[in-house]
Amino acid sequence: MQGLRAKKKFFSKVYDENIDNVYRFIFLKVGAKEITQDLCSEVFLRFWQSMEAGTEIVNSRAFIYQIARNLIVDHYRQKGQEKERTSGFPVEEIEINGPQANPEKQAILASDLNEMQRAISRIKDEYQDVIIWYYLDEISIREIAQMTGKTENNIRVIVHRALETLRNLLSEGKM
Amino acid sequence: MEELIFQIKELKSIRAQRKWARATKREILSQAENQGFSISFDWLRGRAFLFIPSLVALCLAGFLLYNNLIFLWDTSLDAQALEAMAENLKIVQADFMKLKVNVEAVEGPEKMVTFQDSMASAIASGEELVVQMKKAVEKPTIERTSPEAPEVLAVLIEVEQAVSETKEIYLEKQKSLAGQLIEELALKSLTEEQKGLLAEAQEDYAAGRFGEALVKALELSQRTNHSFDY
Repeated sequence: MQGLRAKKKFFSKVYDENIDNVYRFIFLKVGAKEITQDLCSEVFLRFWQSMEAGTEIVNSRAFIYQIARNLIVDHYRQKGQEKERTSGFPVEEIEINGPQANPEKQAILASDLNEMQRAISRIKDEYQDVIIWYYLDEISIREIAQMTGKTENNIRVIVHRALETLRNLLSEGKM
Repeated sequence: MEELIFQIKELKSIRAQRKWARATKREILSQAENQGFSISFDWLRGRAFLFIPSLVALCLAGFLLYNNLIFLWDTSLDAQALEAMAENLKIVQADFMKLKVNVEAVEGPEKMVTFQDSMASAIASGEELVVQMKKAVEKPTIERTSPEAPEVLAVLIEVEQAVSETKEIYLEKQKSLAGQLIEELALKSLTEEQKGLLAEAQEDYAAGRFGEALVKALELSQRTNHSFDY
């Protein structure tokens, strides 16, 4: 049994490594900042509680994403609603470095991000997950396969199909 | 396809706000600390009020460390640091307000005695925090260069008030319980040894050492199988 200090240290490390990715994962699926923050807090609280309960956690990242996915499903189930965006991309939260960092550029980027976010939110969950994990979190195909229980080839096919679907949506302007 | 991938990667701009992320982690770890604290107080498991001192102590430890760094560096703080400091101070203030309410809810000398070490520690830390932070924030270099310093100072005054009120209620409760128990025990027929212990409790009480008086009176109460009616 780990001591409290060791557990807290481990939790802190996992939290720091994953907070931005999990936040982004949830935000891209639920859209609203407040809901994202609530769900994100809950994800890490449950992760801590699982550690406390002695649950065997082989892959922390996979475990956290599993909690996040369950919470998102519960969120929509409780609301009894279809997936629906409640707010756009908050411009003030976009972090741009270098010469782009002026309000005009920021607004243009926010608009592009909104469009992309809406497009991603309209593809099926499985496609969303792999797009986020592979291109944004930069998780390897192998690890995604382990996380989802699918083969690596299967994941490659899903990534390809997800991109195709996304491209069609964007080109048809169906957002 | 490459352009599409590039556009997707732009979404990396989405990040959790730093302030929120830090506060969330702190909150979860504080809860963890509280759970650890509860283990040694089986009779109070699930009673939130005893957990508060550990929470306060946790906040204070961070503050005092930070404060020491301020003195060591002898430099002005930037706006973000002062803003974070004000926010954390508000948490400490809220903790003390909760603590005050919970002290009022304490029933019986046994619970008070178990509670009092943590309480004394939290109050002492709170007082030390106020003194040290005031010194730090009122430093001329910080006051002159940081417009946020007055806000930190204002919150600090509220913390001071909360600590003071908590201490007042705590001491009053301690005094009341010790006084009542000593009065009841004085009416009982006691052995010489027990009378000696009662005299010590009375002496502590008269000298304003209510915590010590309560501990001795409680010990006597247990030796005489006295049932305290509160």
